[in-house]
Amino acid sequence: MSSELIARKLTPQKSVGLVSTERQSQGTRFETIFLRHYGRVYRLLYRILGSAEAAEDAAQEVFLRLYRQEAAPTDEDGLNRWLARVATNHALNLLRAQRRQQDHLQYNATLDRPATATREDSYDPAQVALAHEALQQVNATLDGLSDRARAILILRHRGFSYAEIATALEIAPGSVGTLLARAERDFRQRYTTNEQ
Amino acid sequence: MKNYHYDEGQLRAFLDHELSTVAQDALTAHLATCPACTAALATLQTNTAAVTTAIAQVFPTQGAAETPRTDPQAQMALARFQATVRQESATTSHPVTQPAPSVKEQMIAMFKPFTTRRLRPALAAASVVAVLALLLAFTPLASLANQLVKTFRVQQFAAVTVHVPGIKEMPQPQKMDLSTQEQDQIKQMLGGLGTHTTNVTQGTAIEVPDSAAAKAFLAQYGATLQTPGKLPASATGLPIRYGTIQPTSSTYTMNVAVAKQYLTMANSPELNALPWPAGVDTLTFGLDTPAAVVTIYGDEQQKGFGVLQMANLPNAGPGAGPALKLPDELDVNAFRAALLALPGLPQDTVAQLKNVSDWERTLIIPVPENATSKNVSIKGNAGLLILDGQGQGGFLVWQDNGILYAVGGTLSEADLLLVANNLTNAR
Repeated sequence: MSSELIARKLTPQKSVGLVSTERQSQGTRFETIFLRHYGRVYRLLYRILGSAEAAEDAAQEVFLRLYRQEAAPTDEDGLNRWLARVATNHALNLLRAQRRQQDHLQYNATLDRPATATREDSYDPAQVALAHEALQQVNATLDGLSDRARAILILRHRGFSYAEIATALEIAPGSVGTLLARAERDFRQRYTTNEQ
Repeated sequence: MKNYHYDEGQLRAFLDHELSTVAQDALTAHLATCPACTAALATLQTNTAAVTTAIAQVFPTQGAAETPRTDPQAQMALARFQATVRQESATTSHPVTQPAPSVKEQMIAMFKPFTTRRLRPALAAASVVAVLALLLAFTPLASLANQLVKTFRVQQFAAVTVHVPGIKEMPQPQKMDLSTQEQDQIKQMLGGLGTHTTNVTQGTAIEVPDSAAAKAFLAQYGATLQTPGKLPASATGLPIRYGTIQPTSSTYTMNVAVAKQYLTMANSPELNALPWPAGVDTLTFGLDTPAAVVTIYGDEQQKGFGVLQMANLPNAGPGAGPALKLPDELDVNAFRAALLALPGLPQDTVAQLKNVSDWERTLIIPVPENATSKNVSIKGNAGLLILDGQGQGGFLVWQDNGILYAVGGTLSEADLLLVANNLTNAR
């Protein structure tokens, strides 16, 4: 039942210590890691992405990266931090791509009358244009921020605690408040400029 | 009392209640005496509010994102992951000698399309179609008036050629000249037409390590695992794998009023004349399938074949194979006759359906046009043999006292019969 492929990939030098029982085959090591950490990674991704399907897909990608990682951390603590960081970065990148797409779709909606009749009653070109403009401003403002500032705003908005933000972004827990305050001020200044 | 000012970070953490209780209280006390810090806090608060409002426009689902509604299914995710890894290593050349993929990995790769969430609704839809298709197939001729629930079991098989181009001739909603408003109404009503329930999950069909496990599984349902006592020459030496399938139970509950309304809009006198039972709001159709074991010889790369063996339905006594339960209220005989009379159905298929004798106990198996079929006898039981018409392989299905068996794969007619006729109790 074990997977020889994973066994081949995870040579002893790379992953000693994660699974204490020496009798366990190399193949089950990665399986054990996967099963032990999947729930946490999934929940983190779900909280950022807000959809079970997106979280499942993203979790696959995170574990693929771990699997391919030549120098993956060998201790439990290091692995936890590695997974949290990679998952957060991946999810934030996905969100960014999503925002672009959303922006694009809304833009098209201002140009064309929707082809489907389902929204016929609620369709108002002026309303759609306004909503799009507001969205575009927020997106432009977010894109103008530094990666860290953008990440911190989104994670806070997603209800992450300061400790969780600190782990995910690899910053000192004591500096989350300062960085958050700075990011919010920066956002507001740029947003106001964009509005004019 | 502090006689200096708090920094921005502490004030911001205060807003989020991220300070310790002691620090939180100290800052509260400090604010009462420090206008500078109070003003700084107010500014931060304004910034926070503005940012929250703005970002909420881009991420409106924030509230829902707090906790997942479904538990993470780690085992399923692992299976999907391993399939990806396996596929990847198959397409990239690797300097290291590749170990042979394990049976588990091969199975996972085969079923990979079904482990993605996107396909699950498609599967659910397919099973609804299956229930309705079986309705057509099983609808009883004799009314069996004494039974409270009309339960029908498979006694024999009939192949019905599905004339594929004929399907295009069936009436399609967009050709009924409906307004967009009416089309929207239809869409809404179709959603309200009925509800489907099933206990089929990802874990319903799994691979088990060996024949002992398959045997033990079937024994729970009072059946003895049968394996081929003789193998065709082409199949000797193939790896053998075993899969188990749990008993399943599915229902489809149709909202009669919605169905009638839909048919009225379709504006077809024949559809409106369908003999719906009077005074009934819903009709529930059920399909139960018993536990089963699949024995597979070979893998997806090599030629091979599989044997399907069902058990009895749980708690249903001997001879209880898959059963379709039709609602007692429905005059299924009249209904079937009316359905068969619908215009636009492929006439050659309808003619074949009408020709099936004793069709309340006949499982209709649709076959493609180029396939050939014939009735065969397996150890004295009625069976149906279907060959693909290109000499690639075929499929043989029979029943023994209500229990279904099937053999299929890249085997010749003679080899299919050889396997079927030589099934014996597994050692």
